[in-house]
Amino acid sequence: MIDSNRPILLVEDDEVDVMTVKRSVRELLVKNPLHIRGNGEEALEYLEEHQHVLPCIVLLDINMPRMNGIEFLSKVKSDERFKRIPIIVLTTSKEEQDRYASFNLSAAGYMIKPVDYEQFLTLMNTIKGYWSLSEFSNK
Amino acid sequence: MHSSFYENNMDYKSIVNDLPTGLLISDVNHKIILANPKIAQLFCCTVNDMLQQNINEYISTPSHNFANIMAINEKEPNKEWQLTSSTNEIFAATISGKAQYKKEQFTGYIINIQKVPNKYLLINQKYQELQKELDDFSYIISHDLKAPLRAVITLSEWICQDYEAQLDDMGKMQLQLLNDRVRKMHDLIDGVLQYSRIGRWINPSTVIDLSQIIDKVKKELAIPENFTLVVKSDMPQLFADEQRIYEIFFHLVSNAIKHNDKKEPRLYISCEKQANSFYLIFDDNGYGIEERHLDRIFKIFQSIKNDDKNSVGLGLTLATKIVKMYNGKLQLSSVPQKGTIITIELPNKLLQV
Repeated sequence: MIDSNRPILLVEDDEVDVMTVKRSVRELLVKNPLHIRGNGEEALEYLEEHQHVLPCIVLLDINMPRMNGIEFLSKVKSDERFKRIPIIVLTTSKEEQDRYASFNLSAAGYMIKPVDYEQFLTLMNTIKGYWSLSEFSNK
Repeated sequence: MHSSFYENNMDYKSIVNDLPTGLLISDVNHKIILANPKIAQLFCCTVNDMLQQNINEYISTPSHNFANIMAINEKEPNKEWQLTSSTNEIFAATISGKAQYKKEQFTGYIINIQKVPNKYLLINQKYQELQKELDDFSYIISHDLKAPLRAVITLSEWICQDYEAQLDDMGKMQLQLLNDRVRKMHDLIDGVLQYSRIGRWINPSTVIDLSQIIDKVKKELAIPENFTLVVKSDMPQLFADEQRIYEIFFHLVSNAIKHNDKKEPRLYISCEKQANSFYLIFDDNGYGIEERHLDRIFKIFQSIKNDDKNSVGLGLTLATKIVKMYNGKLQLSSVPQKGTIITIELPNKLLQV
């Protein structure tokens, strides 16, 4: 990513999915630190605590306990401090409702987790490529 | 027939027309020779639609034909029957009637039908609730089953990669088999998800150009070079959920490509318009299907070939469910080795005029 000091926040409850993202980030030589929270509530707390260095992007799962991805998205997008953080939904859900809701809430992308790890790697590489070129909002 | 019945009985005509209950008269061959406006209204059609039809077309239920109903009615004259209108709505009615004889010769039936008020609404509502519940249930189950399965797939791939040096050939082979089976299971669960999704979420209707839908399907499927797909007639515009209509075409075209071993495989698509419905016809020269398999292929996860890696046995099931959702019918006729014709009948109200 352009600013390799800013962390990437992964909001994901499934241990193996967390391992998948960690592994791909390592293999793709992404320099940014990867921080992990297990549901929407924890992720909101994280943002409150890290207001001085907000994550450059958030990778967000939808189906999670306590607060799911869509609820988290709507909280973040209605908060003046956090709403400019690009949030990429990363989910197994092919539900039209979920896509609809995500884009209504200004998600920066909607990626369906492929079954294949190799394909997942390609997907993460594409995300990396795009966000290496795109500018971020610094505030 | 209709007018001749009244020739000598003009006084009866107004009585019959004004009757508050449905009246049917059938002849010796169970053909309907008289129907009053009330009964046509009950079945959501016209009197002329009913005339000359077999009485079984109307006075029957999925489990009882006309003769069964009359036999049971002799013992239970007040029994309520669930009849189906021509628009596929179910309503409850009591049926009374008697066989008619002239000089001891059977001449037909006179049937009187009284609708039981509002009952069909309740049944229909209950049915729709149950359907929704089933779709929700399948969705939740399949979605939750998928997550752990994905983890198994990923982990088995990593074991293969990371521990390649430690594994002997047998170990690798077993992991590969494990991976194949879990993937198959994943595809099956995905199928249940897709199936349940049809009833759970309907996108708003838009104007759809079927020729464009076919072009989109062609692009998506990367049709083999030797495969000929010809659209044989003008394709109409519809007003419906584009995604669902696309899925019908996608699955049927994909099946036509998959199940064909001819040197010059082809699929003709055409459309025929009639008074109340229009027909979409998919005519291919593929394997065809033996008659004994016809029921099977409509069921979810049934395909005819053994262990077919490219096919989960879902396309036809999904297409049929979508067609039914629009109160249509999907019918299939086939000659083994020669080909298959699939005809989809949809109500004209879907047409964009």
